[in-house]
Amino acid sequence: MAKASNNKNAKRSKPTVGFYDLAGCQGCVLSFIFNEDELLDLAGHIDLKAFRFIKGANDDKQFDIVFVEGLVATNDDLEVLKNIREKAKVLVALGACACTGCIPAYRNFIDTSKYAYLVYEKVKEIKDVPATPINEHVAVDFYIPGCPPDKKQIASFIKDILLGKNPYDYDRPVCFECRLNENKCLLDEGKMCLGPITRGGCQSVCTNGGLECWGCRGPTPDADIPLMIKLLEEKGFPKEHIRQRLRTFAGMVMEKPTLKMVKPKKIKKKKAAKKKIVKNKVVKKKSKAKKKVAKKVKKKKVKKSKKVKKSKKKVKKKKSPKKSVKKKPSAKKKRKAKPKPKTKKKKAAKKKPKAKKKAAKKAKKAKKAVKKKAVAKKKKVVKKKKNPLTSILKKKLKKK
Amino acid sequence: MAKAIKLEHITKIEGHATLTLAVDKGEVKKCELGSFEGSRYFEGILKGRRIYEAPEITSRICGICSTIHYLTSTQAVENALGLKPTLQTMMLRELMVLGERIRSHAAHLYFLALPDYLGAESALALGPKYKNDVARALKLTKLGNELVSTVGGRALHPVSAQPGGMLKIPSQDQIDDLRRRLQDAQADAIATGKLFSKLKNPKFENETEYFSLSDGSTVATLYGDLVSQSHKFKKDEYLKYLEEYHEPYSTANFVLKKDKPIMVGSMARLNNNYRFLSKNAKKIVNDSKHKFPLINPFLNNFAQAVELVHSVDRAVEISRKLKVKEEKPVDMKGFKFKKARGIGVGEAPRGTLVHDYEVNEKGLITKANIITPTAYNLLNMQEDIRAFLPSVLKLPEKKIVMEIEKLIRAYDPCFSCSSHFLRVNWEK
Repeated sequence: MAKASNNKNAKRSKPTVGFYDLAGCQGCVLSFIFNEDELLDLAGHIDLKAFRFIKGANDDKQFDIVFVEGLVATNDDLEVLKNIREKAKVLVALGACACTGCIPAYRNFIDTSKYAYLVYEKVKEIKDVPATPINEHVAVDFYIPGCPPDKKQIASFIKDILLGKNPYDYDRPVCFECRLNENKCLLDEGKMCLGPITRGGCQSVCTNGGLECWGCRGPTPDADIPLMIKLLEEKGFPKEHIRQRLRTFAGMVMEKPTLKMVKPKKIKKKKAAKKKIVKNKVVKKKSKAKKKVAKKVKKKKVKKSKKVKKSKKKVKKKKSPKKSVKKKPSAKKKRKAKPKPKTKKKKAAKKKPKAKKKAAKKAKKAKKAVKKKAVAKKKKVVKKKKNPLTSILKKKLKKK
Repeated sequence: MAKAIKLEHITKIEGHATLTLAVDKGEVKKCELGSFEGSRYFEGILKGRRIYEAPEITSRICGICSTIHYLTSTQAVENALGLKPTLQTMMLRELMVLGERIRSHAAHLYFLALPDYLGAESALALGPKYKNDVARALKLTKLGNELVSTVGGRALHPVSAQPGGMLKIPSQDQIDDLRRRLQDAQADAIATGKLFSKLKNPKFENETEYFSLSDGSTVATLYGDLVSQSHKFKKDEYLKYLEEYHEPYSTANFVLKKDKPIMVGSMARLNNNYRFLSKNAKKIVNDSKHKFPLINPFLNNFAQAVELVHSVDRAVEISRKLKVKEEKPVDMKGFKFKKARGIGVGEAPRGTLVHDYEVNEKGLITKANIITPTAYNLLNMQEDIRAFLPSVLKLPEKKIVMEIEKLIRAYDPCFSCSSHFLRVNWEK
């Protein structure tokens, strides 16, 4: 708060902000407005120049930050988007449509000519631009994914910018938060949950409400999609159904790994000219860390299972009071199937609170620590498996 | 003097719309209201998907009416699969619809409509005099959001409804807590009603067919038959009375009823159901100078304010009756599908919404048809503008545009919804 008020005193530093919407449902800009308790405060700290949805007078000269909702579906959209990009110092893709294409981009996977006449019988001529997320056309500096994006994340993004901080980029899988919220694993219940490969930061809101994750926030940077497909096939889902699900919210990214949500190269070039916001550093750090991991990981394949075991051992050491935790995962360790480490860990985490309700607080702290390690290990394991399988799957997909 | 006005990027509405006008010697030669929202082919996307996935997908047609799309779609799925929700499920769903209506009306009234009446460009620019009003708006929006998120799992694009039931049922404590908060907000709703009953509206009357659901016990949400002044029919027969067509200047579809434009939305809903208004809402109406049935489209704002009061009262009533017990939804894994057709009808904040699916024995959707409220309203809006224009023609052009924008905004149109399907290319 203190920092915020400092910022307020320095009137010059009020950033000019715009909210723009392309083809979409307006849910993302509504998400921002639905920050009921903070909206007026936030609006007081920024200079809101353009927001067609709630403002009559909209200026479109220069912006420090522009939030763009929706995807490109027409030539008009494209024109507007390019125009905004020129005027904005920082361009933020707000929501799933802008980040990954969301449901409207699903039409790229179906044959338009087959259904167009059914949708509207009297219309014979249809001309459209392929539905694409905005980073297909312009450089995007930040992504706030989700359908709809978490309203708190939008608020905290603006706050971070105001304080000159790097906006927090959450890239752990949904499973991480889902465990913390003590939900039952929906994969275990036989539902097609995409939590393990989907970027979290949503407080696992769907699984809290009983609905399996549909992957609306796009894949995590190290998501092993082929492995996920294999796991779901083992659970008895038809391949065609799995593919439909994967394509629903983030098809463009899931199917084409080149279309990853982070495009560091482009951002770096543009960033060099900008003063305040230094996402580069974060990107660099991450990439360094990844390289290190990759070096370590470059060993024989056989070690996969050992590594998983090691991680389990560490869990045990740190949590000596919890006997229930020790026993159950160790029993499952014997099975060697690849996808299982994920579910095993979940189960282990699930059973902790039941065992010791009194020491709930301690358990939570310990849980966090353990999960961080578990997630780190998971990433390593996943990295190793990734390459051969993805290439196979890509080939298969191309054939079909 | 010939005059042509082109209004692009109409602000403070959902989605994108344009209006083209041509006036010659006081006569309106051309009046075309259209949407240039990019097409999103929802009906095409649904084809080939499993029918129980439809609610999640169609919810994305619209952000502000996501709940009603979600629930109407769920109803259509249930209708196709021959499932019947329990009374508890029906009550919980009605709570969700009311929650959405509260937040949508509050947001529309204060953020989109009120600045027009007060001559401000936006609610944020209203200044300290209206600080309390803006705070009230945010409080009501928050309440509506919490109603939806407590029952539905998420405020926008809810997750918890499932064909045949609810995936997660809120605890009795949560319901009781909601009831307390709703009771607390009744005063705010009434203040809103009073505020909007005092505002001045242009004198303009243009009677049309007012069309909505009516269930004979309350202002309709998800249940009942379709009615208007002269018709009453079951939801399955909607295609007998309604016809969809398309204009080359718009990406939205138009609907008419036997060659006549129709109006849906808050005003239509109350015109058909005003007998069932709550006490507080009736008091607002009686204290105002307006009488039902309303025929001035500008009064849709007033109708929304009245409905807001009613919705809060009705939600209190339901939450008082509701004694939740554990119920499980139908498991879709291993469900035996039959070839069937399912129709769901609901009342979105801005009017009647129809979802109509056909499903095959594999459980895949073979045909989908969705008619959204703004699709019904478009033609009526256009006709209203045509009729309203001569009365403001003497004003300077800026003023004319403002007045017309007010009229369009009063309908609370949602162009994201109306153009969920096609974009047509036309030659100029």
